[in-house]
Amino acid sequence: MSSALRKSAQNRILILSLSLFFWMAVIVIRLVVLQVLQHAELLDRALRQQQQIVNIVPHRGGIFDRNNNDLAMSVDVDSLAAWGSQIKNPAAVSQALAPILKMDSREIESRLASARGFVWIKRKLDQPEAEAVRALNLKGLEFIKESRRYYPKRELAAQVLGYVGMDNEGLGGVEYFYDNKIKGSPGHYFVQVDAHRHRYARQEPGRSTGDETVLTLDERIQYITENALKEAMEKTQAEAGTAIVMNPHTGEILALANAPDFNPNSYKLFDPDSWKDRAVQSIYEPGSTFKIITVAAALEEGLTNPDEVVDCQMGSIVLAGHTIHDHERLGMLTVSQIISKSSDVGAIKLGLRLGDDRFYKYIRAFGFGSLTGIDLPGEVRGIARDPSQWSKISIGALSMGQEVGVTPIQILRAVATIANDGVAVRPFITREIRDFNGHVVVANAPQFKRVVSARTAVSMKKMLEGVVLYGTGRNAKLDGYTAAGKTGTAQKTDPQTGRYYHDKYVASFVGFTPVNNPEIALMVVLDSPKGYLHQGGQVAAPAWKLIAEQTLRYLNVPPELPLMEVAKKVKAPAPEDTVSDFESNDLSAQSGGQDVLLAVPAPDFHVQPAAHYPASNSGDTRVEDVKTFQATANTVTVPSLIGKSLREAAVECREVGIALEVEGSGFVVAQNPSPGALVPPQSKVMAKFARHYEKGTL
Amino acid sequence: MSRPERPRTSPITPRERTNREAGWKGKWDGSPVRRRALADFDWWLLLAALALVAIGLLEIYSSTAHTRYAGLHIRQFYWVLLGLAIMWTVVFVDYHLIIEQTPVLYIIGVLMLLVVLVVGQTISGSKRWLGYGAFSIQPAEIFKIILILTLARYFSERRLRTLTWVDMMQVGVLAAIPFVLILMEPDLGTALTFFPILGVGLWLGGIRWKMLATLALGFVLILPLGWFVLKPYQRARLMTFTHSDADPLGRGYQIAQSKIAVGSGGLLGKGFLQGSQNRLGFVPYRHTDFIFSVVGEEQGFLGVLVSLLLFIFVIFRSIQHARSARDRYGVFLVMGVAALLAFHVVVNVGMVIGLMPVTGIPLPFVSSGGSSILSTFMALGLVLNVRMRRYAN
Repeated sequence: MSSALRKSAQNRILILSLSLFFWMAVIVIRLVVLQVLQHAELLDRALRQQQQIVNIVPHRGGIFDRNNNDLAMSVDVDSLAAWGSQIKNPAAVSQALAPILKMDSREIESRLASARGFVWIKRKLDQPEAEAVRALNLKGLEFIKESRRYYPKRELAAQVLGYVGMDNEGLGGVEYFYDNKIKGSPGHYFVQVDAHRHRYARQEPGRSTGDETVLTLDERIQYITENALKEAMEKTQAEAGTAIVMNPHTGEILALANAPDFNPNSYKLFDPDSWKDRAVQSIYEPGSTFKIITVAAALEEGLTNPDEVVDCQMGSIVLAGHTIHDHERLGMLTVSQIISKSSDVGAIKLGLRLGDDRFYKYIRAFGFGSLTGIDLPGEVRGIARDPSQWSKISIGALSMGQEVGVTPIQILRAVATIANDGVAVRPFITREIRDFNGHVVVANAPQFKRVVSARTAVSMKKMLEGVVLYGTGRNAKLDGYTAAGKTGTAQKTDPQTGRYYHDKYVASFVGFTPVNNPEIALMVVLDSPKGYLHQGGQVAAPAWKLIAEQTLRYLNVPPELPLMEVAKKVKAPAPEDTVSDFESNDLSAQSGGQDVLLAVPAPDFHVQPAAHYPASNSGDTRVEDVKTFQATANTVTVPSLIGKSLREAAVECREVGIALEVEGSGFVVAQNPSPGALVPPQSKVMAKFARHYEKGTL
Repeated sequence: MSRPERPRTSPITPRERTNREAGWKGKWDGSPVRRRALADFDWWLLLAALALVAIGLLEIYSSTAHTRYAGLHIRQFYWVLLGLAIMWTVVFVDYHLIIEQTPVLYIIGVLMLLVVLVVGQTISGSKRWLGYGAFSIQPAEIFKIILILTLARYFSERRLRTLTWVDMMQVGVLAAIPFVLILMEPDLGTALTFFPILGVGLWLGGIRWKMLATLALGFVLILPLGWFVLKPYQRARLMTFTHSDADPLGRGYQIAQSKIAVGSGGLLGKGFLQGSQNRLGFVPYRHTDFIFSVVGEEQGFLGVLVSLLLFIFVIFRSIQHARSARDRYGVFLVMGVAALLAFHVVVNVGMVIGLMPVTGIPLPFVSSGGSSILSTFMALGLVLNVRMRRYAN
């Protein structure tokens, strides 16, 4: 050690060293506290301030028709927002924006001035608007991507689909009914932010999407139905209208049209009345269509039979002192004729036989006064009062469809019950809902309930066919197909006075086709058609016919009857020879009332088989001989494939030497060309396969 | 040896004084560096300093990458090269020769401090820099070294065992002139570094306990007055320190963010370039005064401990050299440097981890900044110089 330092100085250096040690120890302890003991907490604080949670507004799931055609989709659009505090000159900014956004500049300015923080200026801009604003390149404005609902088919099925509000909430139709599924759950992701709140997204997350909804609707049938309804509306100048097409065996709604309609892309521009889904939300007095219930109940209870003759007293009946006049003076009618001619007196007489309680039981059994359970919002029960509230004449009024409030869907379901051999189905509009990965979340299955016996239903079918063939519904007679239905013409009630209008009617036609194995149940309702023609058979039946024919053709349902238009064309150049014997023989089996669909060649095939219609349809002579082209050595006979499995059908075709074209699965229910037709070798035969319809539980 | 010393009329040089004390008569041989002296060069001390510089360069890179300060580590590297050159120069000139020139250096230093007040560059409200653009230096930083030299000379040449009030006054005036000038820039942090230099001088110069107590009392009495001398932002810093959690988004922001950075680093750190607090800009002045929080975040407790151990090594090794110094000049020089370094480390690290108020003094060797690097290497040069010349010839 150098002598440069005295002992005391050495000590003083030691003291300095020790104090430095002390401070270093304090520092190290502090570091241990921060970096070891408080590490988790401080790390959490760091992450919290370095991350920002960004909410993702989910895309609403798409809505599709049964063939996966888009009916509703979601697209990204720009919304314009501003940070009030960052806008230096609100007046100038407002004036620049106003013409582009077509807004009042003072309104924009007041919005900018009112908020120091975030404020929307205009949400969901159009593409050109957004581009124009971007071009201005103004500071403090921010574009935020939002999801906007887009309905590519515009008015198509508007009331079924519904519409969506500014915050992507479903406000009507399926959009509302399944909103919590379609909407999707709002996701969020984290972005890194720096000290100046600038965002650095590490990875842009995939957009979360709500569940996809597949409807039972078929957009083609929907289109057919809407067109026909629109045409009828124009022709009749009706105030409103509804048309529904349903599969009577399953309850699937194939089309549901309402008029007036609206464009859900801009629903606010339309009268709110047009947003209404009248098929499930409107109550009306059904009128004569309700006689189906009266007669079916009487048949089921064994109180009458279709051929019983009832005295309709030349159109008037006295009930509890009130005289009720029929629309027509009718005398002695069979029960079938009461339906086909829509006799009020006859219906009242059958209703009286039932009595209050039994009649009420059937009214309820057919589903009136309760919800059908269709998956559409705002469905109403209708009005079916308890017998204790009935007046003396209520039974008479109810028998002909008054004093009861129904929705179109209720009446359609009642008729579909007849079409489905007495088994009621729950109508539904959503086939399934599947999540983003395609897993089915909700699947709607048919639900059944027997209401009347098959025997009663078959009798009713025949009677309802009579309506079309020679009753009030002749305007609904189809070209190529059998049809059954019932007209209805009910006076509307003035909601103010409670009395019937003299000049306002609800005209309807409801039915199904083809009669023996119905493909569709169909209803057309027109509210207050103007002019002299106002009856269901006159205004609703033609629209019904239009929809039914086009729909059956679209569904490739083989015609059972000769096609009038084509038959005429073919008749003139017809060759001498015919092969009609085949058809006649084969069709004779049909008269037994079996559910056999026989295929006929398509119109362009120039083969017109003669169709023999069941004898029960008296007065209808459709047996016609239609010529076909000559059998030559170079033709083969088409075998009968009906009832065969795919394998059997394929073997059969190979033996004969024709090609088989398969549609569907199960067993052959129809074929084209029909059995026995002579066709060139190697030509195609189209076979439609289907699984036999299984009745559900009661 | 037995001859009584004659009273001198002319002042002797520090060199003569040292030689005489060592019993060496005759003239100084004039050779600036000798082989034996070079063999005594403390390579370990330099190595530890360079290790700290390396840590600094890495974290300066990490904290400035992708910011407007990007590339600052390169500039820092050049400053280090310049610092090493100056250190080398300082090492090779016998410290007695340097101490001889203290009056001149002192006057030049004060002039520079005056000049900077007139023509200095103003950056964030303070006139601290002399020079042009990237090649600016802070005269205040350099003056720290001049003050060490000045006080070393003063205390070394005091022959009494204890200090008198006259000494105190003289030393006080010597320190107060530059202190006030630096406060006027204003640069409170650098001005504060005069206290450890002055303190260690007084302490080793033999200040009496009674005098120390009187000074402490006087300081406490004057302290409230000082509050009014402080600029508002300086008062705010002190307020912040005493109530650091009251306003974490306001004035306490810097300390809070720095603590979060250090704490979130944990035991092993987030890794080089991975310090999110640092890279997302939450830590203020992160490449200069708060560089230690970046070390803490990215290298964790382990990295921080290594850095601290390096500092402790440098400081205690310096103290060791002071104790083995050849003469009182050497002792005071090296202890001045050691005190300065220790003060910087404790106050800077203490600030970063929330133990001390924000004073804005850099971490030696590590923080980005040319003046700090230059003055630190100058100081290191002095220590090495004394160490090399610890033996009498």
